[in-house]
Amino acid sequence: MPRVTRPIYLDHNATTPCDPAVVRAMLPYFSEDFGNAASRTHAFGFRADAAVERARAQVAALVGADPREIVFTSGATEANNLALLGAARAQHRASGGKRDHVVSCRTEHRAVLDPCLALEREGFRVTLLGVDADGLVDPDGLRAALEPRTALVSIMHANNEIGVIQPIAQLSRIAAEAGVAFHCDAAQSAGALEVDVTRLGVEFLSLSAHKLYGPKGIGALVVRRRSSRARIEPILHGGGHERGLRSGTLPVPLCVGFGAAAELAAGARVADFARHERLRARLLARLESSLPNLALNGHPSARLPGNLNLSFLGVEGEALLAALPELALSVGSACTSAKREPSHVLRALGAGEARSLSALRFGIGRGNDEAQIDAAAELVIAQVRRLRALSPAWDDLRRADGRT
Amino acid sequence: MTQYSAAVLEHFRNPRGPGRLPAGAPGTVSGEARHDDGGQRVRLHLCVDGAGRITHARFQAFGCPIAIAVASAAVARIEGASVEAALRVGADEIAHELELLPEQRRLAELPLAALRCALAYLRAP
Repeated sequence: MPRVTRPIYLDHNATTPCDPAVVRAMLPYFSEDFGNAASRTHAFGFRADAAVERARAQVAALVGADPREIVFTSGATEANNLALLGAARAQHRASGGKRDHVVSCRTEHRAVLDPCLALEREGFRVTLLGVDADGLVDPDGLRAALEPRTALVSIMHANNEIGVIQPIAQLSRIAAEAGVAFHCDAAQSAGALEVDVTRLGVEFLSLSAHKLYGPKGIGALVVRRRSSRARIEPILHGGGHERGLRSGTLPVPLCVGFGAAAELAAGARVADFARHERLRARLLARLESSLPNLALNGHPSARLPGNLNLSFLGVEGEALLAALPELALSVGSACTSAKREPSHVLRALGAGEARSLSALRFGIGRGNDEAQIDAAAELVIAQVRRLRALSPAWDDLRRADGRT
Repeated sequence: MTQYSAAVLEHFRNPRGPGRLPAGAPGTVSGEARHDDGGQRVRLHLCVDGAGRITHARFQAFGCPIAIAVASAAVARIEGASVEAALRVGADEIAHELELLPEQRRLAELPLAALRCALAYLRAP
């Protein structure tokens, strides 16, 4: 068995390490150029403001936006809350209370689903679209869900658990034809896929720095200026920063780090994509050649290059995770105090309990190489075999297979 | 991931008596118990001699590391014991041995329910 001192990090869908170049770019803005970007009366403020504006341009360039369309937030969760609550309320108000309906999807992140629930408590109606067995939203399903009263559609670009990439350009066109604003959570896809706000055709786009090798604690909401549908109001009130949409002193070092990470991502994206896809194919091939009864969760090709969500039938994900301390992975179904909460994403695919409970998520990223993938595969194969050997569920599965 | 006690991880990594017993052998019985939420399952296989002693005990388990550890700990206690002594093993002593948290304790009931199920087959084959 390969010996490793520190776990191999295969959880890049959860977070990524901050790139050392990003950290270097941030450092001067803690204690030297520490000014408040809103201070208009001295050089400290001017320097901070210039740094923030440079970062804003770098983030905008990554997604093909105008710098004035970038609203810095504390992360994608806040960006999603701002988009959902801010846009739905603004549409509601502007329509004299007529637009009271929001459409989203069952596989969205909780940072979209929970604001949807909050809107429901305010009196909005919410339609959550289902997905097919591969995790894709049906464009006709969206078309059918839209009403004259619909205020906003929110569909994520790439899913955080199963990596599935939604056809955003197609979906946003349907919303636009109905005159409905479109929000897209691109926390997982920015830096990994081509994300261009014009091509995606969205009014609002959420971004997160720490998913693209930037610092935690900062993200952005892109608010398109050209679209008349991009109506939005703030959810935080205060000093009127970020053109009134997000009050609060800007965290200059984090803005700078986000900008630097965005610029690095723009340069590395194509090479990263090819490399991560190759590593994922290698991992899948190794596992499949040694282990029968694996089930891939999510679309086989329309997915993030580094994401692999696999069910090891007959083995429980939490047990497999505990058997693999050498690997930093994530389970498909969260376990809270001995009670199982099957993942809402896997449930939406129609995966049964057995498949949901046996799912593991591998998130390949920049730090991984062939040797790590091979070591990880070897460890997983050995532990799946060991746990299957003592699993009554695996026994039953083999017996059922033998009968057919 | 949940943090597990050292005792749970020890049983999980080095389970006592994993596997099955040859089916159909005289005095061999099996029983299973499961929890509804999360599909946690423990199956016990016992060989009981004419004097009412459990000569061999094996387990199969599906679930989190605790489900596997409680089955392993139960097998360690009942193999070699009389049927009467095995039935006196309590969930509390297994939970105590494995340092289970209060909300994890009910998992310790699983192997004991499987034991009672298996022994019922012995009495009424």
